[in-house]
Amino acid sequence: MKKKIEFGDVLDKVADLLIKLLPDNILKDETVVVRDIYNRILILLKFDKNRKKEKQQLINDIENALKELGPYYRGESSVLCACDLYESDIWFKNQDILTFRRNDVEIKLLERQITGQDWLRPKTELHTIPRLAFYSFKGGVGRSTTVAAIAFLLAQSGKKVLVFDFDLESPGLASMLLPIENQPKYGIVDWLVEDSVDNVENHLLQDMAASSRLATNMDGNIKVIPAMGAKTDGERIDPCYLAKLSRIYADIPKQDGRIERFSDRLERLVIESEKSEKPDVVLIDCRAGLHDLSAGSIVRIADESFLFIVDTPQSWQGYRLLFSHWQQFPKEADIIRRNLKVVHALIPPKGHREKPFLDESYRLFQEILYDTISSGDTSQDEKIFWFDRNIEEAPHFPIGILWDEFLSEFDYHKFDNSDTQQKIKSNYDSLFKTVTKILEK
Amino acid sequence: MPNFFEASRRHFSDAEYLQNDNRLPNAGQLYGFSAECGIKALIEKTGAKPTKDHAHQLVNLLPTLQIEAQGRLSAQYLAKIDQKKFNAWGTWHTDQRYEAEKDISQMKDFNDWYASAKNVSEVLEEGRIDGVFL
Repeated sequence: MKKKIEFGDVLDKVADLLIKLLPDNILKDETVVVRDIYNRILILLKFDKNRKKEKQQLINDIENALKELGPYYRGESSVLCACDLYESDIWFKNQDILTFRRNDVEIKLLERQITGQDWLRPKTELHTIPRLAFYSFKGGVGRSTTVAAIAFLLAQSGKKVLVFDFDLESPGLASMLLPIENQPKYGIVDWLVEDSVDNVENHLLQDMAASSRLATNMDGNIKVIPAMGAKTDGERIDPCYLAKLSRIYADIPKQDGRIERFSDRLERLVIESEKSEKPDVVLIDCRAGLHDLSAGSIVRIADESFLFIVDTPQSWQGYRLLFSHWQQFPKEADIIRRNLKVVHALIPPKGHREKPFLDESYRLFQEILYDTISSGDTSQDEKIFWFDRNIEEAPHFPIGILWDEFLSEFDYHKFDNSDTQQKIKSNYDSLFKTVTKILEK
Repeated sequence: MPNFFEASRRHFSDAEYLQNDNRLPNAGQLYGFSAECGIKALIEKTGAKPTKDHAHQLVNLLPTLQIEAQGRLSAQYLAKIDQKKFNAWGTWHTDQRYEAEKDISQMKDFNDWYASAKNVSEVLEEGRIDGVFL
């Protein structure tokens, strides 16, 4: 019996049939494979009316061959030519076009997805203020506590720090850095909903950032932009938060006809806040897991992302999942992998096995993101990205953070205590040094 | 049986044909029908059934879509319908087909009608690429 076609078989099968049917130059320069939102395949050919007529037999052959895809066949019109589209440039010059390889042949691929596009859209805009993201595949690994501690240490060293809580679906950083009576009137979610109806006025941005008392009497300061505002008098908790949250992910049409994506809106929020607050450094507390908020933060916005890993099978497996996605698209992966740094989180105080962690981390990077990927241009070998196991500056080489009972139940009022400050200093020392080095760059 | 997606595409391309020949009053009418069918195609994707009496009240269609659109499939397209552009249909009417060209004062809004019809068509085309409309 013939094997049933499943999701993961489709792309390779399409690549094989296109390699067989299409002349090299047409496949390379005039073909885009679209995977629609159901993983069904549409082939776009850059043919005008005359070329379409001339190549009708070829088009029919592809249409027929695509029927082999079974449930992933779109039916008639599975091949469209440029002349069949209103604005063919939107599709042939689409910013989301990726390149995938099958047997050393490069094929242009346009992934149409409901979510998750940003995992493969590395940032292109240059900016001057360094942005550091703190990400974890699983929650509960001390990520937000670390953001608070690093903000504290940076402010102590004289830096103006701007902290964003991008963990919009389980916010909490603000309550760690600010007592509730100091929390600002608005949060990120307020900005997003008001912006979608062009209702953002200057004061909203200013009313989103609150100074943390942690930095009192320090040369630097900490400004916090929380996920939610504390606008309701008396109650302080915004009863509309979920209603707002459920509306923020839409892409929004702009006056010039462009569609602004969710992650681009987040980036614009960061840029506008940077203009208004003029910090020395931006820290972003990311949402955990494979969410658009994390993709936007790590891939689109941050210059450097700290990946928090706990030494558990589920944590390693999670990162393998994410890295393997990047690995399929070398051009994008080559940009992204340069901005990653592993943090070994929640190290048990006694009997921890740091060496196996390093081995595991090295294996993760070596097998997926290191030399297995070239920049796509084999004539430029120097672009190959490779580190030995014991190179401390390498992305895989972990920065350790010890698990600490006291710090795990940590909030703003405990910062006043000098013992706490000492504890923060010693526990986050290596990470703080790495952050300082990045800022010096 | 209506096929709003196909009909919207047909009206749009016929309207472009007339516009290129400077026959604007009928081009404007067809852009209107194209936008109407386009929005109705989107309304269908929300699971609702578009009503029949909207042809002369084009501007009322968008609020219907806004109410019906919910969830990821329809909301992602609704968000891309430019509401400001769509308001241009306030001056469009099927009865304009009965009038002499010189009497259709609303023709001054032709470019705005075109801009909105184009926006709707592009959103529909995105739905086609995505496999929502085949």
